[in-house]
Amino acid sequence: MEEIIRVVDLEKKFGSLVAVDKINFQVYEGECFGLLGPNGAGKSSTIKMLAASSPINSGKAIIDGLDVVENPRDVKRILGVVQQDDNLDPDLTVLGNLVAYGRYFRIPREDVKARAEETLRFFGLSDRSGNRIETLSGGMQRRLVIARATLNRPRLLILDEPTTGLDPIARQQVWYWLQELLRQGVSILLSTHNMDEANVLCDRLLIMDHGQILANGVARDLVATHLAHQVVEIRPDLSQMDQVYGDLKRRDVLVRMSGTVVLAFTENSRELEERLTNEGLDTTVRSANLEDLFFHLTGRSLEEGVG
Amino acid sequence: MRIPNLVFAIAVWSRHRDAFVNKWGAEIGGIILEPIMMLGAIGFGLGQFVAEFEEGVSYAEYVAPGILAGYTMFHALFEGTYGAYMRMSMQKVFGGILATPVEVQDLVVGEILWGATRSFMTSIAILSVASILGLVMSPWALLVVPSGFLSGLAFASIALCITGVAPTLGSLQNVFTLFATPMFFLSGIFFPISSLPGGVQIVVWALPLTQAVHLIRGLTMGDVTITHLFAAMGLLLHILIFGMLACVLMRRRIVV
Repeated sequence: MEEIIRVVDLEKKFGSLVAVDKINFQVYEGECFGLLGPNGAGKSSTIKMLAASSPINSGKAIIDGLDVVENPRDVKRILGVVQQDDNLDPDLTVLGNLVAYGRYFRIPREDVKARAEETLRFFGLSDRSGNRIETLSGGMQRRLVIARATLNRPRLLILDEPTTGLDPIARQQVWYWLQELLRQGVSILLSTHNMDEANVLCDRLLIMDHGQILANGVARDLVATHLAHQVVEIRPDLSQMDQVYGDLKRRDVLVRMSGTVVLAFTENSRELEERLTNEGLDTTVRSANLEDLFFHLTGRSLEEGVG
Repeated sequence: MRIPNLVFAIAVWSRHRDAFVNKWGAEIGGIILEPIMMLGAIGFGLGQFVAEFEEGVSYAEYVAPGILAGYTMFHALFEGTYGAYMRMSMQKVFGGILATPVEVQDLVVGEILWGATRSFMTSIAILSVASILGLVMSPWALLVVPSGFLSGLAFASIALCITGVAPTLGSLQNVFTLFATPMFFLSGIFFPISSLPGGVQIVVWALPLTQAVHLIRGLTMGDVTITHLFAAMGLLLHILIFGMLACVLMRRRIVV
């Protein structure tokens, strides 16, 4: 498979703060690659450097064979970028936003309008073409941001937390459009602190924290390698929490407290569940997931942000 | 120094044109009415109390080209400070533009071109009004509009430098209270610079507005000499110096 992104010892500093700490990874053509981590992990800094909108302190970022630092214009020509801020142009209409973008990409004048209209059709926004941006719902605005990012028919779409702040339905719609684009062969790099998003969309992902990569690979494999396949969730009375936790720990079960729940990671989950249920504890079994893995690697949850 | 690409700068300019066309109804009144009121109040109101100014020149004829030059300054400054600052910090429009092949230096040049376009528009409006009022005395006045554009380029370049370093939106007010308004009163719009003390005269001649006023007054009065070429070259110098500085300051501000 061809590489669309190669990152070598990439580093970003703000003064003495190391936001991205000499990371390395590759993304292959046609795949969806995720950067998963809490707020402040260095995801946005990484994405901005790759999108040629933030200087690289050291290391290299190569996109489709082009060095980002040496050829920012050529790199940006083949990219579609969806930034975290909603930065649609409020002084222009829906169609006007796309037409202006077409000019920034030097799409020939006679093609711009047709291309813009085609893009709106694809994203189901044709009937809003003449509307002002402020009349669109949050979900529609995000859809338009993504539509705008595809106007130049990018080979690689880079999205910084594409569904943050959206309601669940709007979020699922965004996932739908991104899957459509993947199906058309566009490569995607996205950052998220939403585990479901990473699960639904990403072929491979890396888990970041404090500017470093903690794990890199296929989500399912990562969870299986670092943790058991299944988790037993135990909800004891609050007074019993410490005791239950201590007992499991003594039996060499990988165990963690999360709020009012005790999580036990084991290959013999059925057996453990049966025993605990017999002891009168409220117990359920589920598959281990990325959230568990993140917690395992950092001792914090994804939603917590930097500890 | 990164060289701006004019094609991308014009793409940015086109965005501003589209935005202006979408809301022109809200702005056109100010563009036309304000200078009319100014010309009326100063030229004819105040002018009644001023005897014939130079030989055969009424005060209104003297002051009209100065006001025109002053307004090219205000329009370009306003667009390059408040307008650009809003697009950069509040609307996040710059972020969207810079995610495309447009680079900061193209964006800055596009902003400067647009600021100058505002000056161009006000030049047309005021020149038309002044012509109707009979305050234009020479066919040289055809060059007033391009000169207004030149003046606009100079002031938009200065404005973008300020936007590159302004800490807050509110701080932009200083541009007008400490820089533009004093210059408006000192640059030979309302009275001849020769009536200022000698040392002050030298400083005042170095100001871009003085150069714009001198150039545009020469054109409306048909009294064109080599000094008007010097004035145009002075504006050009301002454009070059502050235009390059604006690219550097804006890159430092935006690209972090």
